[in-house]
Amino acid sequence: MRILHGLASFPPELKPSVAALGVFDGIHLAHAKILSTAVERARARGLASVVCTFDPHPAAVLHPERVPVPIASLDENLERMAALGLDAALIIPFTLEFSRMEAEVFVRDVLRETLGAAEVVVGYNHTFGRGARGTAALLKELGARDGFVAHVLPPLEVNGQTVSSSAIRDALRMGELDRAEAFLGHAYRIAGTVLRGAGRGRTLGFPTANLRPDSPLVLAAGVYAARAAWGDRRADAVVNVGYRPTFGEHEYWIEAYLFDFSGDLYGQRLSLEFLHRIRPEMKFAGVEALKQQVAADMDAARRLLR
Amino acid sequence: MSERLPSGVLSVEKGRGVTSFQVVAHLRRVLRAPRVGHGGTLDPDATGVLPILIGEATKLTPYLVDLDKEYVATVRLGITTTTQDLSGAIVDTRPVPQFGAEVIEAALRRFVGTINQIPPMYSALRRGGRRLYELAREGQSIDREPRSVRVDAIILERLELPELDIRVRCGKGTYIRTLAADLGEALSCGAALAGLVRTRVGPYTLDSAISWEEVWNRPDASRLWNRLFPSDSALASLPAVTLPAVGAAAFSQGQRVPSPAAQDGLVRVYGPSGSLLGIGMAHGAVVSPQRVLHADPARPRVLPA
Repeated sequence: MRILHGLASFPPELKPSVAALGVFDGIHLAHAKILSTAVERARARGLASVVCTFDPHPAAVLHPERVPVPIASLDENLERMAALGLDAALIIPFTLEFSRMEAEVFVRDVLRETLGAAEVVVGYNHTFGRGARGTAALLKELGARDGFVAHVLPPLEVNGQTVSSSAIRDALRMGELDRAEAFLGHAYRIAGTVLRGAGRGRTLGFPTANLRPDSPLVLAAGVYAARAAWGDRRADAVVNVGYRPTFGEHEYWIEAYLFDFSGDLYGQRLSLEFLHRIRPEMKFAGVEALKQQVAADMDAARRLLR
Repeated sequence: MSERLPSGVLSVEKGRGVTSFQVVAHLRRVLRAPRVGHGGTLDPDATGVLPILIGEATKLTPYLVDLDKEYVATVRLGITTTTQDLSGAIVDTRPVPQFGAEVIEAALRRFVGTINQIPPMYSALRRGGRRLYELAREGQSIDREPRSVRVDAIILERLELPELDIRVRCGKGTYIRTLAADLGEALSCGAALAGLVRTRVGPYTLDSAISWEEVWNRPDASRLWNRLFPSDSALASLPAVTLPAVGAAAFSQGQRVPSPAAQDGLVRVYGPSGSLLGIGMAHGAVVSPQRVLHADPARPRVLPA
């Protein structure tokens, strides 16, 4: 998949195209449906499939104080888009100036002229253009007038609930990894940089990596079985997610114990895929009690990850 | 003049030690808005999300109260009080066994689903025209009917005996204090609520709420107006229908109109320009108005994610 930054970088050889339009944070099942519809339509017509998305999240520009906690980073989203078979991802830098573009102008200049979109795929609730006037209904209307096909995908339900980013965040906050995964179609994953930890784990004989995630974590406090990845290495892990109760919701620390690994990961990029919740966060009377609990957590994680 | 004030929902964080009504009164003053209400009382000692309804949006109060809620509750085991939280007088104290997480998680599972709660004496419910808490303050205790409430999920987040934190997702009318006290009885050691944070009301999460500092200590009216969510953000769980101009005019005058809805039930109703007209009940071929809202000046619509 070609990754293109900004409208000017869109090459003419990708025209005409079938474009999927949206923010696509986390690439949940409803996003995947929109993206793969674009891929299918493009293949059927022998055109290029292009996802047209935005960075930063439009809400971060329009309403920075109300921006939802992202489920995944742009890199991870791009990785999943590529896996779905898209030919190109066009990332439009979202600015206040861009947000003032009228919906009709966006369709004419961006979708039609730049992308040469013969077909456009969006979710039922996607809006675009100044004041979010560009609704699915308007897109269909413009398509009928200007001769492009607008596909508007209906809400997608899993277990009777509409798949949405907020439903996923709600499930994660409740520690319901299975429910989140049923909406996402993949495990919840975070990535970040390994910090110099308190060294507490090392003195106990369990070296740990303290992770500073790229974006705030959405997950119930507790201990989890996870899969860690850094460089080309993989390891199973036990991860403690703790909140510091005195500082609001986003003050947390993430401490991962990696199985069968000893070494210093300080400064490295690490990702964690959360698979099962083992237990709540707990405080222990002494070092011995803590050591015993960590050993029990490791057994539990090995069983769960087998 | 007041007619021209915009309407919508301010999702604010309530601080400790003030009543929900004090927050309403404070914002009415700061915003100079005649119509301000809140969407579901939060106890004075509790903190967290308190949706504030402004202008025409005050008509949506009954729908806000219906929204799902999420709380993080700190429960102190081994103590029972008159109020089921730490503000009341201690009724008794009992030793707390060294419970493992599994024992507490098993006890919590009994409170998930449609459960019966006997509302606390210290509650705002009325009996014979008086509030129960008024009777309780006079030392009275009267028989209360159990009420059926819905608890969707509970997770034990932190265990640090004799305290624990649970996160609860529940439907309307659930008393978290009572849940804490009933959990204590299920574990035979008694319990009282030691802290409560409401982390979500429907689509309004604590992340996107205006901080208490900004609401109470340095309120700035123009900044607050900028943080207003549109009225329809409270109704995101209802299906939307759009009426053509003729239908929209009739609906706004309280008349039943032909229905574009796919299913029967409550719907949010929009006019052709995308403005919220109100809430309708779709039944067969018609939509009848339940609540009609008067139009605001046009403004961007950004729903809480």
